[in-house]
Amino acid sequence: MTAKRSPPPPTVRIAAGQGFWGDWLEAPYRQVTGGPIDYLMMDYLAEVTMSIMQKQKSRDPSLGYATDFVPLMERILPTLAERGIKVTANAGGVNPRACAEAVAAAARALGLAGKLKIGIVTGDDLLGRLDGLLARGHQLRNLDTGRPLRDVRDRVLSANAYLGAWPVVEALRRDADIVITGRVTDTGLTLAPMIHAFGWRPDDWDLLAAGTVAGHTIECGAQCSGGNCLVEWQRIPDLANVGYPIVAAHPDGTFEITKHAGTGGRITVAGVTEQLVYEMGNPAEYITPDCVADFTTIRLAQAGKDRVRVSGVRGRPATDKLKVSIAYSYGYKAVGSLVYAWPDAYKKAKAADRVLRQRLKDLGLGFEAMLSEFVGADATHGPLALASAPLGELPEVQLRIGVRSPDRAAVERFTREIAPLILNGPPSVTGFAGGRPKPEQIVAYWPALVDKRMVEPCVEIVDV
Amino acid sequence: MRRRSKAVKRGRGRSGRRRVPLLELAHARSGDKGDTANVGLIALKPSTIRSS
Repeated sequence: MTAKRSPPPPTVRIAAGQGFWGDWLEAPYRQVTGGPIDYLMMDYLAEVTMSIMQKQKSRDPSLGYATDFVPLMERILPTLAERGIKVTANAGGVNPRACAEAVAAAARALGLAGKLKIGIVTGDDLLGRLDGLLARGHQLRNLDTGRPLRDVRDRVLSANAYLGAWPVVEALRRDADIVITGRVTDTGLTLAPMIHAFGWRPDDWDLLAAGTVAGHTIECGAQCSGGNCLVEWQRIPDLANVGYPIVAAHPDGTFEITKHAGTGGRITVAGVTEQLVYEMGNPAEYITPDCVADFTTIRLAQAGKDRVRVSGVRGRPATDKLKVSIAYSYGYKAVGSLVYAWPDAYKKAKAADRVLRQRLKDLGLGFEAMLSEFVGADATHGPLALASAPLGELPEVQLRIGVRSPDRAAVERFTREIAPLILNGPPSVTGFAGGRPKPEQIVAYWPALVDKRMVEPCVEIVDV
Repeated sequence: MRRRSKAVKRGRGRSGRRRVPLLELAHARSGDKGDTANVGLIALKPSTIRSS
């Protein structure tokens, strides 16, 4: 690949290919073929994803990663190799090695043996170390409630520390073309190529904060390039052909958000701002393993059509903690639904809800929580909508009712109480083709902090 | 809609203030972590934000 000691390039282009596991499969292909880019960044991991992967790995030790990633890479590997585009992706989930092996096998089948290096970043998975950490006095208290982890220890399904950009930088320095990681922060996947390309240092806090803001801006894919955008949404052109965002980054920490020419969507100050406030806690203190970024210092300017310039970002030193994302089992739930037709659709759905609740009560079934929504009337806007909706004239209303309980048998019994309402409840009912709902395990989220020194990131390089 | 919500009834009240739908003043995006959601509001015009 490129020589290590050449002067820093003025611009590095980092393209977002996936914003979550389940995102548009066409996006990565379009990013690598639609115009020049240097890096393809793909973010796969949401909080709950790791526990799903841990479950898959426990059934089959060769699984536990984002399986979609492999056929997706198979499709773009020849282009990546030909154009020298590098990849950073946290598709490895709880099994980055197995993911890397699957990608390597795909690359060999394409005749790329000896032409690519894969970097593997691990060390984030704390599941096997939890008891040791607890025994040494690390309580892993829930950041929201303050409760110590020992309260739910026997129900923990996964535990992963968020690693930052630096292990990914190390993989790039060791000439990895594709870096596959476990729980590396979404922002670290974008920041790492900048650190690598521009030679930023671990205490360049403003620069690291700027790269973090760049990462936050594109980590959700098209959500900053016209997707899910409220401002003049009906005028956003050609969403069918939406262009995913690209960061054009400079060594001084300034960057532009842009997209390939000829694609749909829209990149404006308003759309980028919406993404900046997404999942935001304290805007003055966006804490990552790499730095603390101050989002109140960000300056945005429209630098051209579909081009927003970002500057002014200030940062502060990183903390001595890492966030740990823990998932644990929290009982069971089931959700059933029935659709009632005009006239009096809302009244019929309300009546069905009353009948169902009476029957559950008569059966002596207690639930920790029970929620009824009337889709078409109050599901998205709650009681405020009921106050103004023409309830007597709604063409149809869906009763959607869910229960939650530690007792699986109670939830199971609930699932058998929906269908009878078709014959023995209010009239004009439909929408029961989906069959009886199934009880599902609830996976709850337990955010905690751990001392940084307790987590040792590990980087390996394998030749394809 | 045949009738307007009470919540967004317009016109000046006794205080001289006016009720308008938030959508006329701001756009927004929400996000979530676990059971916690945030709502980010962005003024359509900077002059809408008055420091108190």
